[in-house]
Amino acid sequence: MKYDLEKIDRKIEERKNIKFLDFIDQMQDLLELKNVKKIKRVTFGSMQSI
Amino acid sequence: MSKRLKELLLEVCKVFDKLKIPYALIGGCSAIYYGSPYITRDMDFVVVPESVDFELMQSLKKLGFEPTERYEAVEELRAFGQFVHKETSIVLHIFPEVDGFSLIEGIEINAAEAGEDKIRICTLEDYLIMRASVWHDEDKQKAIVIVRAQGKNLNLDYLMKRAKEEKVTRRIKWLLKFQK
Repeated sequence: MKYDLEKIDRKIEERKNIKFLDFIDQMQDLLELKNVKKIKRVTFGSMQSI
Repeated sequence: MSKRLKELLLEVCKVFDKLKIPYALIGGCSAIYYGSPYITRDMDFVVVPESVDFELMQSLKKLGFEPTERYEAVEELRAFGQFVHKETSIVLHIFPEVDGFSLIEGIEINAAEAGEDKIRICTLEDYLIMRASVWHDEDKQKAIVIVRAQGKNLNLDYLMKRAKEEKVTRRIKWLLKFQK
């Protein structure tokens, strides 16, 4: 198995700016986004009609 | 508005402290503490099982955690506790031990300060030992992330002592090749 170390390092660098408990809190928002079952896909220009 | 996960994690730790249950946060949340950028749906703890009784379950229920099993005897709860938090869908696991880790003499634990509270977290080295003890592809990937994030902070004496105890020395040596 090959590991994308560049990608891993990039994500680790991004994470360095977020404290442990703040990340735990952000995780909640991300998990809630993942729970969204219905996503309406729209084309730019039609957004006013949503 | 639903309870924030940060608050929830601290409250679970406070319950363990109040009931004098020795514990360590393990798994994905502990990896986040050590710099992992990956989210998790689980809060996993290892405890000293003999210190667990039904008061723990009652306290967790007050925080909104519902048991997924019918625990009729305390031994069942001590063997493996699983709860789901109603508002957030976070799954709480309470293990008496996991592959490569239990709270026995000689095991080191980190007490992370969180304001006035403390969270007891497995050490960086024990996180790697646990991953090396399971050693599926997913575990290798997760361990590599932590080695890349924390390689310079590893206590190699403790790591190799634990690796020997858990018979995962070759796997740990392989992981150390990913240190930056």
